[in-house]
Amino acid sequence: MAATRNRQLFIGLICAFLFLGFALDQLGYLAPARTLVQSALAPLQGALSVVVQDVARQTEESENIEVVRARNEELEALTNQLMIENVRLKELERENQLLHQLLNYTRTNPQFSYETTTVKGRSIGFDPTNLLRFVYVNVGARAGIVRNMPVITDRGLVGRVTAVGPNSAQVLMLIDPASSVNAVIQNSQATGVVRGNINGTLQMERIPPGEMVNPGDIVLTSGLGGNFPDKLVIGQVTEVTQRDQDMFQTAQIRPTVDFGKLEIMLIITSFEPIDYEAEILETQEVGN
Amino acid sequence: MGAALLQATVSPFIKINNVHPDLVFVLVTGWIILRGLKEGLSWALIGGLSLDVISGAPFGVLTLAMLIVALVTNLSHGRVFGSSIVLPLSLTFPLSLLFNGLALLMLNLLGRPVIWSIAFFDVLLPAAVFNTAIMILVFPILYLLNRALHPQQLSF
Repeated sequence: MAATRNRQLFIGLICAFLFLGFALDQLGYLAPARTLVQSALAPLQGALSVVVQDVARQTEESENIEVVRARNEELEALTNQLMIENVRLKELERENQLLHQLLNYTRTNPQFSYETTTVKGRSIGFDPTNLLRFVYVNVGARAGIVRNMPVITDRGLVGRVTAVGPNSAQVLMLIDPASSVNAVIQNSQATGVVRGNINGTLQMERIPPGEMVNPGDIVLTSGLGGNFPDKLVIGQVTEVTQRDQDMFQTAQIRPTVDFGKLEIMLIITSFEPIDYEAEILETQEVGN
Repeated sequence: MGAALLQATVSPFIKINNVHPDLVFVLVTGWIILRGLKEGLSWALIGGLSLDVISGAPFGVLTLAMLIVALVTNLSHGRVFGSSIVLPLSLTFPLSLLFNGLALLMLNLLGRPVIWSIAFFDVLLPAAVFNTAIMILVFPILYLLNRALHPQQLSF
């Protein structure tokens, strides 16, 4: 009887503790404690990650079938590089035309020179659940990282920073269902929103019905909304669907980034994302 | 905490179709099947909190899901021969669906978009199969550990 009462009391205390923790978390009071624990764990996680990556690499090299797979990956990487190179060349051509028109103005206004500064971060771990798609990197506030900074690899866009500790940062990957990026199809300039799925795939939604979208088209960030810079490569269209009852077209996207094998990423520190929600709140407060 | 760290670090290397095993869940349920709720509840709490700290999920979601699973797992304790491999294997599959399903439901209620058909067939179901397969490897180790720690309680 006493044991049952104790157990009920224990469960009650746990529930109260969780509720309090959840409330504090939602109010943002738990962030310092979480950051502290994550910062304390970051070196251990980083060391463990290095060991695991080394073991995985050695195992791969020791098996013959893995050599073929590695060769295949090399070719795939080469294809991706060529594709991205092609995208860059096309974009350069487009930019060249625009820059030509602005040439006289830019000559007298050198402050328009374009420069991107980046911070290099190494992946130290992924989200432990199958339900969320976060990756953790070993650079944080001390390296100048702030929330919402875009994260890329040489293959394309990875996602954005969603939480920052002193020496680590949490990155929400594009393939997470909570991620959405305004995008544009390179050939047709059709716009839409790229969202992640829980199964790790990407799809582009809200493409206007009249727009021509074909498998193989390249999808880039549009820069609309101010959350991401424009012209970052997201992926390639694999399939386009529009059911009779749908107002918009939907395209399945094959990402250029291999989200399962992220090692070194670049965080664009010169880009300042626009937080519209905060600005609207500020405007409302000033208005009141 | 070690299992949670291992799960976060090693998981990318043992993924099949973007799904990896829930090592903490497997360890907690395996231990509850062997030792009952008295010990298991504490481990469920520690395991859940470890996942909550490392994960990007709102605090408490994974702990609550783990505790509910612990309470459900305990219903089987003592009713069937605890050391048999059949029991943990038959329980892991539905319990894994329950654990991930509950966590996803809570995330959904907290505003996260979820397409349930895709989530069930592409994540929850494969994860349940994966966790059951991992239980085949993990349970004998837990069984030996339990026998080493509590020899008198397994004399039959």
